[in-house]
Order: sequence, then structure tokens, then C-alpha cells
Amino acid sequence: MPIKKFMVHGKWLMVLAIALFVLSIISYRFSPAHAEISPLQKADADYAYQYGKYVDLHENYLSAKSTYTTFKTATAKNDAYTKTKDYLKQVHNVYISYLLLAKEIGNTFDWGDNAKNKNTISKNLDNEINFFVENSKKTDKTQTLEELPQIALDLNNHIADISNPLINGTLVTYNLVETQTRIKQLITLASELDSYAKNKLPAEKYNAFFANWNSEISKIQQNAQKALDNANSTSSGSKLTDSDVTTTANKTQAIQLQLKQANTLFEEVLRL
Amino acid sequence: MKNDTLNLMEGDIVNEESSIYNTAKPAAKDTVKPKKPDEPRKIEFSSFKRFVPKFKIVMILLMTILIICVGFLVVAQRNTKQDHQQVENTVVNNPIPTTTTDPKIVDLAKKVEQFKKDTDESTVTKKLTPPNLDLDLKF
Repeated sequence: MPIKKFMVHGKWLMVLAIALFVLSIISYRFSPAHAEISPLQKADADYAYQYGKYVDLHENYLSAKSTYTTFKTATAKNDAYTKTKDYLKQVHNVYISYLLLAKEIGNTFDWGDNAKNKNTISKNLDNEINFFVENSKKTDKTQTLEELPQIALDLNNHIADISNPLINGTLVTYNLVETQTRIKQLITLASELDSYAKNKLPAEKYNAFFANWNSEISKIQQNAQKALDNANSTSSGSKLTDSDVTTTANKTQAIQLQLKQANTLFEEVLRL
Repeated sequence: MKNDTLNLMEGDIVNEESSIYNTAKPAAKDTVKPKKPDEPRKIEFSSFKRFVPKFKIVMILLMTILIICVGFLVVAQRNTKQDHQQVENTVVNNPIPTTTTDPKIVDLAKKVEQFKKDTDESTVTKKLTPPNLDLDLKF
């Protein structure tokens, strides 16, 4: 009978729909896209988001400012006040997310004997974050457009006198510690490859090869360490400028390029 | 007066349905059809008609759920494909000898790959360029 056939098909369709639904939930749950993100990735994403929002609010502020400057009406002023206040608060959010990102990047390095240095930097970054949080609340409490330029000026002065030197010092330290971390990585990786290969490969055939290989790795490591010690000694100081940061960054980048030479040696061993 | 044609007398009551006046063919219902042997009973449509609208709604709902599920599957499949593509690119750039199935070698290859990425570009330089924001608010 046609109705019975229809009902049978309908039942099967329902079962199929439920099965597909459950399958899609499972595949979505176990999909790599749904994997948990690290604190560093989260901080990076947050900074990117806040900066994007800053760009939008900056445009709004400029547009409202232009309208108010042209028409000078109460409505235009109120709109300029609202948009400028939102913009100023967003400036605070950008700096807060940036400082949080700086903290997370610091956590990825091997500080070794420099743990005390790390704690100092972390504490300074926390103090800066607190300043921006409090100043943002102060911005929120304003009532008129006239109050905002003064807050912006005070904030600008704080950034120039306190935040930027702190950030510059942090960046210089981070560059040096990052490079030291890479040198340690080189040593560890070379040691692992050496011990694995010696267990797997016949000694009489590869002794000479590994002797030369190890001497090349040592040469790279010693040159890198020497250059890093030199960069360390020339990068100290209380108030570091943007130029100091650039100089240190260039030096450490050159050291990292030297370390890259080890990649060819590592791949040689992997291919044996 | 006598009607010679119809043989009726004046005053006679004429039955209009009688065959004298009625020249139309006899009604079909009057025709007796022979009964077919084993004719199946006809279905009572009244209950089915009540059922059909509800069934339509159920089918529409089912199809909607099906389409949503297929959408989920497509998205999940695309994400998995992108990740596979990334892994494939990594392998293509640094191929491990295919005869090797030793997990230790695979692990070491991954570490070498990570070292390559780390020394390619400084994380500090790449991610920590300080923001340069406009704080010149003048009206």
C-alpha cells in the first residue's frame, strides 16, 4: 500500500537524519579546528582583535570630530564626545592586550639562570597593565568633551616617559633571551641526533662523519654564543630608546641566521 | 378532446417522467453493471487526508535537519583538509626517508622543523612591535 511504503521511507529518513546529526557533532568535536588554543595564541588573537577595533573607532572619532568642527551643534558635540571617549578607552585596551601578549611571549623562553630577571619584567608589565586599567576607568567617568583632550595628553606623556622605555627594555631583554634559548635548542637537538644516530648506525662506518659533524655544530654554537655575549654587554642601560631596540634586534637576528646553518647538518643526519 | 397521436384524453394526468416524453438516454446509474470478481475494497481517504499535512511538516523538518548536518560535515571536512594540507606542506619541504617508520626519527624531524621555524624569524620582532596610536585629541 502506498501509505505504508511512505511511512517506512519516512522512518528510515528520520533514522538517517539523526545518524548524520550525531556524526557531524562528533566530527566537529574532534576536528583540529576545534582544538584548544594556547595562552600565547589567545593573547595574540586578542591583541589583533583590539587593534582592529581601534582602527574602526579611530575612523569614527575622526568623522565625529570633523562634523563637530564644521557644524558646532550640541548634537554634533555630544556625538563627538561619545565617539572620542570610546576611542580613548580603546587605546587603553590596545595597550593592555599588547602588554599581556608581551608577558605570554616571555613565558615561552628558557630563562635558565635569569629567572629573577623574568620576574622583574613580569612585575613591571603587571604594574603597567594596572595603570591602563585604572586610567580607562578615569576616562569612563568623564562627562564632557573638554575633559578628554587632557586625559589623552596625560596618557601620551605617560606612554612616552614610562611605558615606552619599559617596553624597549623588555624587547631588548627578550631578544637576547630568545637568542640564548635558540642556542640551547641547538645544543639539545644536536645531542639528541648524535646519540640516536650512534645507536642506530655502525660506528666504524660513521665515526669520522660524526666527528666532523660535531665539530661543525660546536663551531656554530661557539660563534653564536660569542656574538650573543657581545650583544649582551652593549645592550645594558636604564632608558633604552627605539634605536637601542633596533640595534639589538639586528644583532640577535644575525646570530639566529648563523644558527640556521645547523639546519643543513641536522637534515644530513636525518637522511642517513 | 382526444389527442390522436398520444392516445390521451383531455384531463389525463401526464407523467413527465414517462418514456413518452423522455427521449434522453436512460441514466447510467440505472444500468446494471456486472460485478467484477475479487475487486479490492477502496481505501477510506478521510483519515489519510487528516494525516498528510502533519506528515508534510515532519518531512520538511527532517530535510532541514539533514541539510544542517551536511553543512556541518562540509565545514569540518574543509577544516580537516586544510590541516592535512599544512602537514603535507611540512612533509614536502622536509621529506623524511619513506622507508623510515621509526617514531623517534619522526619526532626528531619535527624538532628540526620547529628549530627551522624558530630561527627563521624572531617571535619578538614579529609579534611585539609596539603600537603607535594617535593621542593628539584637539577640538
